Amino acid sequence: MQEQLSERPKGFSRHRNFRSDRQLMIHALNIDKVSKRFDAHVAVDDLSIAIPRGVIYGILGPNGAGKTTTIRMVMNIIARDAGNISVLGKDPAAGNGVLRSIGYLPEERGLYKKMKVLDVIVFFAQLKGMRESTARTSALAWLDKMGLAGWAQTKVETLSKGMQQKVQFIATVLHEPELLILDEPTSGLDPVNQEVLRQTILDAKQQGRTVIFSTHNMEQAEQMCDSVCIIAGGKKVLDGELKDLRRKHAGQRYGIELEPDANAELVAASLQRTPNLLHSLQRTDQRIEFDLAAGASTRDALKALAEADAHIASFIHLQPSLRDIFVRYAGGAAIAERHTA
Amino acid sequence: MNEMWIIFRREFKARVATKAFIIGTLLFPLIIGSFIVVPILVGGRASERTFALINEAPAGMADRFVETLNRDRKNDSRTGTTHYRIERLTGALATHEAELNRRVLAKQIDGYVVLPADILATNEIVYRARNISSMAVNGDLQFAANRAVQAERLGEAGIAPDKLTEIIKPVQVNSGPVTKDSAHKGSATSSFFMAYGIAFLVYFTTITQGIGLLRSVLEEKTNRISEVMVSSVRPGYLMAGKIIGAGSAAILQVFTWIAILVIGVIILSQGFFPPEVINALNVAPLDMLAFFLFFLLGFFLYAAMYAAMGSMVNSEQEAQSIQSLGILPLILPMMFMVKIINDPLGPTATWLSMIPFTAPIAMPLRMASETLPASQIVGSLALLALGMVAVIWVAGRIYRIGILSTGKKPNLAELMKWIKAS
Repeated sequence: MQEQLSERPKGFSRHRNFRSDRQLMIHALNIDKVSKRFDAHVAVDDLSIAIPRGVIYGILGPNGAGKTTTIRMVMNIIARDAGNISVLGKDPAAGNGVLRSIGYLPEERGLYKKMKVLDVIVFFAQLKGMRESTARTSALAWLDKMGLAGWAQTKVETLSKGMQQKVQFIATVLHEPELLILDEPTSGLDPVNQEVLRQTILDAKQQGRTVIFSTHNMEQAEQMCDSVCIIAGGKKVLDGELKDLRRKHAGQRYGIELEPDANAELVAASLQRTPNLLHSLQRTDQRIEFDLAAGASTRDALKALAEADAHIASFIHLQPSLRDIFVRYAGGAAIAERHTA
Repeated sequence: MNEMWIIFRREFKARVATKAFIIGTLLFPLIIGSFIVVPILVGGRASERTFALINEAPAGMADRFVETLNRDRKNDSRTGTTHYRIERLTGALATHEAELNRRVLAKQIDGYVVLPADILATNEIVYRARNISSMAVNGDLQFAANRAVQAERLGEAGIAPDKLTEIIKPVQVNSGPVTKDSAHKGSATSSFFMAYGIAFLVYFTTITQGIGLLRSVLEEKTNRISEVMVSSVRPGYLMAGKIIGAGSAAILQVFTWIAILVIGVIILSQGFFPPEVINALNVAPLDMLAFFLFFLLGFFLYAAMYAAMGSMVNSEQEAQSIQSLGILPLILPMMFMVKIINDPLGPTATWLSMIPFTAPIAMPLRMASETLPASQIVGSLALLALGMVAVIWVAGRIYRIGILSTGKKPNLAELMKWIKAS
């Protein structure tokens, strides 16, 4: 384990390990029946989320679902109307400084445009209680890691959007916070930098830190998250560990791979002709995927396949992707969003 | 508290390390100074003129004319410094005119003056030159001709021309305030310089640095910097750090100006500045302290107000309209400046000097024009201090909510809600 650690790129230092048995009892974040309304519009409605320590947690939802409002209430940027929030066991609204142990990346970037890159990072780190000299050394290492080594003395305003975002990210993580809250961390980043960010987030988890991020990029959430929560219209639609969710929401979708000598077209036609068997069917070459109709079972499907004399190489129950689950639960809103985007 | 210091340092640096600040601080006094010094320098350089003089009038008049032109001006109300070299020609203008015109154009002489034979009847002399635009030279010629003609007429009336200077000597008004401190002497002009200087310093720095603060708060709000900040700093500390940063920049600016002024006066003092300017710097230490306090308290009052205003608005346009509202109470005493100086004990002056928003300008104006009872000065300062605390309290509550709120500008009812929110 020790050797494995030393091979990883520099970034988070490894001398802190936040997981102890006592601390594991306290959730990294506990949102309990929280609500927020703006005039006539309910942004967050009786929302409860519990996030254990040491995980990567995704808050998923279409635009306007209440993700950013929830995060802002956690960060005490806006006041909640009802409910309780506890960050690392403390209420952030009580002004007890618990927010300083969080690294927060806001949805819209917040940097002084006229300041130099290094100065602005050091400034934010100092506000979190870091010493100037330590912050400076560490910031230079991070700039190097993020591919911004030559830009330390440049004014922020001359940087591209993606670069500014990386600068903001460094300012978020520099003080080695126990909990990272990232609001849409990869929006506006190119694939290369998305990968850099992903690796950094995985590193943080390896260090025992908790990472919470909001996104509507399902593939990314699927790659990285241990647990997710899908919210829509300010309400929680479902949450849980990713692997449990997948198992639970595995529907009536199956896949068959036919031997090369089988006539896939005929088999597909035969299945589709069978009454009350299928809801839908797609075929690509020798592979057929289908949803069973309500009331139909795998036995019915296999019977129909036998009748069609299909040479089957494999028959599997398909696990849904996070995108499938998301679309199923937040479907209407998500589709509407795609039209406006 | 440590966060406040970090915010302060950033704010101060962000303000001072700008071209606008450096240019404003260093160049401004130089520009003002050059308005005073350059004309004197230019006047001093072009101090010699060579004129030909044709005298068709009685000989005594030419003598007196030349003598008056180059008189010792030390005790004179006229302050011109031009020295005249006069070449006297005999004979009438007609015999010399062509030759003189040629010499003027050839730049051998600057011009020529004719005292005509009928000068006493026509009241007119002739002056021809390449360049006739110098007011000082025109004035000097007229003054000298006047003296010559007056002397001639007095002689005709039987009065000795030597007595002329005595007879027409102008009366000077020796003006000065009555003070308990007899060592503190000044004149009406020096008080005006002083009062105007103080009022201007307060007005200018409060507006430039105060509006700068409004902009800086707006930047933090629109760029969502404040969202990142409030997770590590309390809004109150954030505002305090910013205000003190802006205030220090303003103080640095004022002290730099004063230093440049003092050094400038010391270097150039010999006969360069009118004595009023130097007298204006001669202020009793206690008054100086009072002036400084008015400046400081007034600045913080306005800075807090502008910080709150910056937190209320969401765009440049909204900032424009609200800042003109915020400058209004500063302009008010400037509008009444002449009235305050002329009638420092009148009701307008008294009221303006007691209202915390106008006192920082109105009170120094009054103090410079009149010896006020100490109770009034202390009272005004106390009211200003109270006003400042109240404004900072209200501004802090608006700021706290304002920097994080987006959407439309709050109306008065919403503002009251912000202030009341615990």
